[in-house]
Amino acid sequence: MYSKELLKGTLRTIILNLLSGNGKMYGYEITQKVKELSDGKIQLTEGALYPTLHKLEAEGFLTTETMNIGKRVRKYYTLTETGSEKSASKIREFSDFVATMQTVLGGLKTSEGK
Amino acid sequence: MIELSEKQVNFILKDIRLKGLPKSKLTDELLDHICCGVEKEMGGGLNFKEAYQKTIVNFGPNGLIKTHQESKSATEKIALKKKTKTFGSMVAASLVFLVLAVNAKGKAEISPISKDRIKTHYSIENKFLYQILPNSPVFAIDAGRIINISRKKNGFYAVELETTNDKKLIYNLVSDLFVMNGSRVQRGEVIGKAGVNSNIHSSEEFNFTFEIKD
Repeated sequence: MYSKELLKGTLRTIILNLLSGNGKMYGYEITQKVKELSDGKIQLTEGALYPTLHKLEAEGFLTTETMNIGKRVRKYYTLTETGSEKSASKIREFSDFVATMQTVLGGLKTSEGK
Repeated sequence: MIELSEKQVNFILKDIRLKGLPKSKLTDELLDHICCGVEKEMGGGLNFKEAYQKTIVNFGPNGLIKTHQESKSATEKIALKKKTKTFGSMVAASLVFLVLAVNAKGKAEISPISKDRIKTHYSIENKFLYQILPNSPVFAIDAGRIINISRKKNGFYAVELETTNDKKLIYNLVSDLFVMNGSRVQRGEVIGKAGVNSNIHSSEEFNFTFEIKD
């Protein structure tokens, strides 16, 4: 399990990327998918997931539709057009960040080794 | 895959409402989330009550209320930001308009002689001929530098002002001078007086001329 701090900055990227690959998804489904993809190493908490989803929706990156299942109401999230663009730019930014981090950490390792 | 009965869903709904969640779309969404969690745990072998307890515990202490409040405030914050942004744009647009209006007004009003001092005036292309009241102040209609002052035989001066945008303004028949050769002047500054000793009763006599040369 990764620390909360580490995941905090990546949550939006994770959600946007998942939706761009899976079409519409609901909250619980997102938590399960992330858990499955990360081999249980990333477990999204409800307290982090829902505020982020609602924020992305309010910002216009996600659109929603609801489906009634008996007494239950399931809310599905889909990327909007700007959401797709945001998703692509977030992924680019994150890949770049990972590469930079590798260089920085690799650099640290090398200097320690000297 | 286990599916909760209506009775079980009602039990959960009643319990989360007792825990403090209001009647809202967000609560509906969280209800479905909890139901999914309970179904998953029941699929793993727990009974309904155990599965429900485990799912609620996963939210953390006061997790349900916190999740509800944070999701609600996230939406409200964005809505407020959008409103502020719209209001801000309106204020900015109004300011730009105001600046443009003031600017346009300022530009339109600058004339070498105040309108209330002019009896008559004519213009031929870029040359303006005035019949003005005695001792009328003469204004620089643009900022620049005085590049030439020449005294004519009749005792009046011709003043040449080179503006910052490379135009030459020639003021002729100026009497009192408030500038010297080489003086820098601001737009609207008084450079001298004109209209002295002239016979303003004669409709043919002009006592001040102004010319713009590009």
